[in-house]
Amino acid sequence: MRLESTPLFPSLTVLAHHYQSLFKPTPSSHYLTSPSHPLHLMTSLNHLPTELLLLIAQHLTTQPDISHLAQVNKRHYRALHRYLCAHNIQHHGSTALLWAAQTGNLALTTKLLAAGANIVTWSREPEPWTDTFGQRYIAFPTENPLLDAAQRGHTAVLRLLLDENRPHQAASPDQRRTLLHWALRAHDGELVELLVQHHAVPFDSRPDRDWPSPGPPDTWPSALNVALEAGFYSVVPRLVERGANPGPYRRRPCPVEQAICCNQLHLVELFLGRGWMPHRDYGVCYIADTKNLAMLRVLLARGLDLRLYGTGALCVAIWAGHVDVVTMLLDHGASARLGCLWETTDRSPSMDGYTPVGFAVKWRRLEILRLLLNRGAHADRADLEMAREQGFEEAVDLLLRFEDSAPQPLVTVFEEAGGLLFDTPVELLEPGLVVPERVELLVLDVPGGVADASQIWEGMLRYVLRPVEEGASSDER
Amino acid sequence: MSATMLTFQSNDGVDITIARDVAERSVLIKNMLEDLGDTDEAIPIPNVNEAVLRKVIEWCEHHKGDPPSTGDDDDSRRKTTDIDEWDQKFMQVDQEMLFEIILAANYLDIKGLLDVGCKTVANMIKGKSPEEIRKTFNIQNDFTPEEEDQIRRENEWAEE
Repeated sequence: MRLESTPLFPSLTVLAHHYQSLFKPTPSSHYLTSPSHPLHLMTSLNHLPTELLLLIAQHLTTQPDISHLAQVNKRHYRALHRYLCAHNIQHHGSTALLWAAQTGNLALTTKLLAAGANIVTWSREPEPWTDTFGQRYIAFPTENPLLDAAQRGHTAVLRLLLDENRPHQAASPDQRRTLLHWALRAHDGELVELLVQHHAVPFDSRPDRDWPSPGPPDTWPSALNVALEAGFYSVVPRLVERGANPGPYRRRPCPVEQAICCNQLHLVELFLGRGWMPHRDYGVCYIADTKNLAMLRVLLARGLDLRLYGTGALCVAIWAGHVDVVTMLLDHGASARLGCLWETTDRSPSMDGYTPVGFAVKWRRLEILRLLLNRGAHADRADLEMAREQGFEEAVDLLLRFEDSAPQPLVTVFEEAGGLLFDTPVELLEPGLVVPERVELLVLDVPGGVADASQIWEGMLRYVLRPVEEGASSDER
Repeated sequence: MSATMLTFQSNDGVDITIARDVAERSVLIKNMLEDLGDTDEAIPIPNVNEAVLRKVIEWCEHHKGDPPSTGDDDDSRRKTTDIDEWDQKFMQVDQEMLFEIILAANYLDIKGLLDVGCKTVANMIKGKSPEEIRKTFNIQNDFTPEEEDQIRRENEWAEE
């Protein structure tokens, strides 16, 4: 049924056009703005208004599908590429940003950040995990676009990423820390300076357990640990100036110990000048082994208390045969009455405890034995018997006067410490501590046993000395 | 009392009379009637020709009992590209008609029909390369080979 082409009710026509503009206010649609659609122009995908192209793209669920549609021609690309980016951000953890960082694509990085991309990208969603405690979720580590850009030398992209500070988009402290550690290991002073000057980089070690865990958390390094491990000594004063510090006790050597073991006298002075002391006695043991008297003088001048730090070092010095080191340690408060437990190389159950005199006999250090006895070190019949067993005649002569002195049992202090000895740092011991006048053991627990002197201070777990209250029980472990 | 029948006039001048509840699947029409009151006059639909308008009305007739759309653009609606059997058959038309239906559904604001139309096109795109999409929809490639290669490389990240 065909009626006149002139509208019977012009008022309604006007109203219909009014609604057309009212409800469809997007003039981007050329279709809506040209009511008489030219019949010779066949309607096709390419002629749909942008909003409808987007609507179709929203019904595509995979990135490749959306991407392929966007790549059809220039108009599609202009209309859909921003949506492709937004889809990646929303459904794929902003992995496009990782790619942009890896390839140094500044334009894409800019576009993604403008679209809300999060630098904490992730490509693996948390997975449920059920154990006896019920269901939990494992969060997998995120990737690090900062590191990818830095390692490939894409400086412009890296700066753009570092400048991003919007919540839910900015790089995480972990990502910044990792970048700093990499810059330190790479000796990239320029990048380190950029980070410490303009960006909030954490100097501490990682606080959280990650998955999969890269080891016990108290072995994770701080910025100073990394700089010293990497031998990037010149940057250390700058880190300290910007607030880096040794932090709490950790199982790994502290920066002061590292600086001692790297023979960085000026850094040791810098650290001590700020009131930092070694967390344990690895460094002093190293000094005893390498006979670094200059370093020991610096430490002593800054108040290092050898009643706490000196026992292991004294044993090492005896073992190494360094008479002058032994003398200096004894002169400055190291106790000649405290012993160490010596673990055999095959980690057999027999761990022998020795007093300094015992060490001197065992390692045939006659001059040191004489020195120790002159200083009133503890000795008894057990030392004499050991000298006889070893055929160490000069020592036998010196020790003969102890023939009637009953061997004093060596006691360890593990029980009193409630099992905390393994991890108790020197710095946590009570201030003003007075080491009791009795024979005790400081245990050197060397993984794999002792093969040469250097292993005494390197990589070993130390049981830290703890005083025993008078009258308290102190059974051997 | 509101009229039970309405007349639409297509842009090629054909009057089509339909039940008001069917016509009100179109949010545009429904709002217009609410604002302007009833009319016995033919309502001009200036963007839609007779063939397309009849097709749209056919869809509205079939879906007149559907619950009204909530208007939420939720992801769950978009994620599913399942189309019910009747709609699939309904959409078995040539491409020109398919896109005309989509345009009409957009103009008349019929969300359900617009969705079915877009899903149908999306299903035709899935799994195809850019070149295959061009072929399917007869689209001219206006990139130079160099541009095309660059675009492909710049979007490698989206290939997974």
